[in-house]
Amino acid sequence: MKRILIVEDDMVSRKFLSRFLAQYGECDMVVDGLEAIDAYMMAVKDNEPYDLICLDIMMPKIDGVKVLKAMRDLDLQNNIEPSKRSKIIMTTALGESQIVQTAFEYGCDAYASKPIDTEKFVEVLEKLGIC
Amino acid sequence: MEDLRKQLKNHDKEWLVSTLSSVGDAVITTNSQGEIDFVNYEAKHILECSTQDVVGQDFHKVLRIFKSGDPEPISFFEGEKSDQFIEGGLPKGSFLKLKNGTQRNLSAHFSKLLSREGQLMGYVVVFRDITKIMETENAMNRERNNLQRLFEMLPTGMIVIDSNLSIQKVNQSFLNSFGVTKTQVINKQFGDVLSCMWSLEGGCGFSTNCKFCKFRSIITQLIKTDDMIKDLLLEMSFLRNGQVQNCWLNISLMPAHSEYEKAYIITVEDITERIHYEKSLDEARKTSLTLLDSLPVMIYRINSTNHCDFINQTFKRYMNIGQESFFTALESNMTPEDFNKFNTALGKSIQIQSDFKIEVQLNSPYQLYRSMLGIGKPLYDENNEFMGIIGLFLDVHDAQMAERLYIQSLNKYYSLFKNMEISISYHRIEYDMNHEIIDSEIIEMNEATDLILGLHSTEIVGTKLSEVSFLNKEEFNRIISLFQTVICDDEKVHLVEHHMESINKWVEVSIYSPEEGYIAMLISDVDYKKRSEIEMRLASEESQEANRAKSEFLANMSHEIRTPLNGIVGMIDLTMMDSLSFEQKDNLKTAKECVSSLIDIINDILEFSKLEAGKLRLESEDFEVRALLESTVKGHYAHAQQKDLELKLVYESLIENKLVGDAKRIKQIINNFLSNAIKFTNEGVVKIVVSQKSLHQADSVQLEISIVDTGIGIANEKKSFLFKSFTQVDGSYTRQYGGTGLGLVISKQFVDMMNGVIEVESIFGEGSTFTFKLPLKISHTSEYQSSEADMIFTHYKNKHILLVEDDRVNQIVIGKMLELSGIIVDIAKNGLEAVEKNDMMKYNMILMDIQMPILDGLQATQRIRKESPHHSKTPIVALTAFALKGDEEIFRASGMDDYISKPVNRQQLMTLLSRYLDAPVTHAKKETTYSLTETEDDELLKRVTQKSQEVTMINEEKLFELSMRMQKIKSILAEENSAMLEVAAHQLKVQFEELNAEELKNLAFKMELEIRKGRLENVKVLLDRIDQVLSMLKITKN
Repeated sequence: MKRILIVEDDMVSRKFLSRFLAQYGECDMVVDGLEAIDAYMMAVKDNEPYDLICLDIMMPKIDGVKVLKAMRDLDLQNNIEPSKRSKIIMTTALGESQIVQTAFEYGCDAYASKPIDTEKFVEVLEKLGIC
Repeated sequence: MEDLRKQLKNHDKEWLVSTLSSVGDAVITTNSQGEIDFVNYEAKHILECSTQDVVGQDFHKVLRIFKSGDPEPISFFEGEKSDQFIEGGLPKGSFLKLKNGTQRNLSAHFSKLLSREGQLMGYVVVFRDITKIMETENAMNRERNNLQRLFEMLPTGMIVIDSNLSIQKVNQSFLNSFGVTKTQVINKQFGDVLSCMWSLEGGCGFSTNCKFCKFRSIITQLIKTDDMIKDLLLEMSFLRNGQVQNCWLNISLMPAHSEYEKAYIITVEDITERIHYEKSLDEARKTSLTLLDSLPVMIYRINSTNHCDFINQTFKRYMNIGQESFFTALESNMTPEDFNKFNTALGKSIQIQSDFKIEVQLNSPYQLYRSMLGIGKPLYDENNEFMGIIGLFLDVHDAQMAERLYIQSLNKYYSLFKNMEISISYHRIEYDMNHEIIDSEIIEMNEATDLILGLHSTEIVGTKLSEVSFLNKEEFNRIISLFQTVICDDEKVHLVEHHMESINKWVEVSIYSPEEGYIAMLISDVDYKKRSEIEMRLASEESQEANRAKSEFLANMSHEIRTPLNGIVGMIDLTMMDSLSFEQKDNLKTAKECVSSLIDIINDILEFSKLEAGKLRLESEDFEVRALLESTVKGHYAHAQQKDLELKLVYESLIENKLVGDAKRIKQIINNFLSNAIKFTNEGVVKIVVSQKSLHQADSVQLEISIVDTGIGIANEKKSFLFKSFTQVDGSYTRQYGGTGLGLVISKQFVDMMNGVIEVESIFGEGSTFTFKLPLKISHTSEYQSSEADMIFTHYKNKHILLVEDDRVNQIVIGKMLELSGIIVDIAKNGLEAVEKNDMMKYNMILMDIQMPILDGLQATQRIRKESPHHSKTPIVALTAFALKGDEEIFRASGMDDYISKPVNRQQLMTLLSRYLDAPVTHAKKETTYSLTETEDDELLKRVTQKSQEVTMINEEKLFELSMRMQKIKSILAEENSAMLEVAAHQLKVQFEELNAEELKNLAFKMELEIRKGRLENVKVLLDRIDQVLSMLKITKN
């Protein structure tokens, strides 16, 4: 079973993602950026890092792009090899290319715009080796 | 003697007698006794006697000669009386007196007749009657004396000169008029006498200028020809009293030769003054003529024979005539009646020498008759002789017109004044000694006053205001004080609405002072207006109340409807999680779609009601056109796909991506059009075409969005129903296509509010194009900023907030938000609990829901403000689902400080907290990239760099609080209420975080995650683990 973290403030989206991704692994759900960091750090600490993180961008407290940056910074601090790092898919309704570009610069692995096209999403998951 | 006699007788007598008798002189001879012995013819003639009468008579008796003044006759003989006349002539003035009384002047020679021996023989008297000679001589003397006197006495200065021009005689008048004495004149030359300027050099006749002297040359010439001259006018300069004087002399000359020499009389008259007088008279005449000419009136003079002998320049110019054509010109430029009138007046005026004054129309050169005032007056010369008529024509046309206009306007204004429906009264102010206004006299008032105030102006005019019966004392004082204001401050007083008690009427009053000491008062009857206004206001208040009730109802309803709908959706979702047959799932899906469309409808209705109530306000925020459109269009993909329609977003021209406007509303408009387009299109394409146009204002563009479909289209006659409330184009479509029909109405309203336009093009059966155009400002924010970047994150310490909220979900959500900021939250389920809790403890802030059971938020607030013994000033913030504007005022009125609308936005809540909790507020830096802001940095850093630091110490109070929480969680767990459980677990986590207890925090967090996953069985394990850790903590006292 893969470990999956869903970072999503919208309950419906969260529910959808968790139900959808449940077939691929166990889904932890957090509702904001801070919780995401907490969960991420806890997982690293417990030596059970997440295989996949679905990271929403528009969130309260800390937006997804910043969370992404923090996570990648933590990866560097903890000397985690790039191959072992969590795969991060940005999920958002925002199609702003500037944000997408920034997200890739910070080290996200994929970008999925909402509403999520399940077929395409599965393709991405396959590419990332989640399924 | 006898011998001689005898001899004579004898010899010579005959011869002697005859000789003596023929002598022209009278001869008488006497003897020595004086007895006459001979008289000749002439003697007898003088003595008027015959020879016989006198011969032998005494000589003295015949020749009685008297001296003047002596009554006795002269005796000629010696020795008798006297002998002085013995020989020689008679004394001067002697005369002969005859017996008949005749007196005769005589010249006589008396001699003795002596013989050769010298013996007296007798006397001889030879005499001559010289009476006539004497008379002539006397007359001549008289004549001479008269001329001399005349010469002396004449008032004209005269001199007599000889042929050398030397003055021989001078009269007194000359001396007087030239101020000289006789000695200064006699034997002098004329110029020397009068100090002629020309002859000063070398004397009169010897100076250089004398050859030019007219006087000299003329006089010399006259003397030569012995001619005379009269009234020769000469100008000469004399030195008088040291001053040069120019004199005009009138000179006449005539010869007056005597038998001895040639002489000439010259009369000299100084006429300088007369000349000057004449000159000035001439000038005066000229001046008065010029004056007459330049007067702007037409002046004429008619002489006594009815002829015009003068017209002035003004007249000439105006009529373009001369005086000779005066009457003909007038005749041709006047109407016959006017000319007749003029002639009659003039004729009468000449006849009886009287004034006249008529008004006539005179044709001007511009062929316009102008009104003229014709005035005439008799004219007399210096001798008071009637000379004629002097008259003038005065152009009174303009004055008359002005007067007519003035009268017209006066009439107009007076009629306005009279007939105006506004009462006007004119008052004269009366002052007391201190110049305070005490009363006024009503001078005039119009009819409207009667009507409005119910008076009879005829009775009122002339009386004092204080005497007017319809004013009570209070009103009188009020008016007087208003007058005082008007007079003192020189201001107009205007009372828009004033209720006159005495007549129970609403009036509008204006008071001003048109002239000093006077007041005009205007009163208009606004009674009807005011009363209907009051009625209107009452009605309006009622309707507003009704409207407010409606809004309230709608707000309540939307709240009430939404809550169960959310429940339905939730239940559907839960059910769908179970393993269900396809059919069951499809049913649920359909049910869910129904719910969402129902929500849409409710949202439409709510929105519409807000629009109707005018309570919807537009926001103004930066937004990106592309992002807005793309996210909007994406929402419709699914729907379009279901109907197998192609959905296209086309950008035609995009000038500015970033604009300022109400993005939410724009999105709503697009959504409306787009969902309609999809709804009414069964096959084909729905296209969204976006373009922008430059506007005149450089900082704005026009955003044009067209939604083009290939749907059913709209028939022309039905187009007018679009955008109307509660109509769909075809009632049947409502059933077929669903929808309230409010979407377009709302969209139209939004576009109107944004100063935009909506256009519709449609061909029935082929498709429609809905276009809306909005003028929008260009955003000047340089870069896109995520909304998160603006967020304020503050961590508060030791702040207590009382959250008053009956809804449990809200309790959890808002509580969580607050706790995330480090705030300790107490919860009250209703107003009453809130009041009680507030009494017990001082909170930093109270968040108060409005709609609550038992005691609602407003009442609770009022009670806290009024009754709370200790904490009545705690900030209270309303927490409400009433999103209607205007409610805010109600909240504030009840004593609330602020309000925040549900659903609560975290950022709004943060702003609110920063406002009422005196903690430093740190604003997030607005950065252009996704670098971390300071506070976020802190939060992140705290987490990222946190060392494993186990808390080993805990105070009793905290431990108790924690165990209470644990207890609570366990009880919730027993109820299997995962929502509550999640909140409780979260609170626990936050608390552990505050204690820096990382392990505990992680356990609580894991618990939270498990709850979210719905694995409640794992929660128990984690709870036990937490208990275990807690039990290992050492307890410190305080």
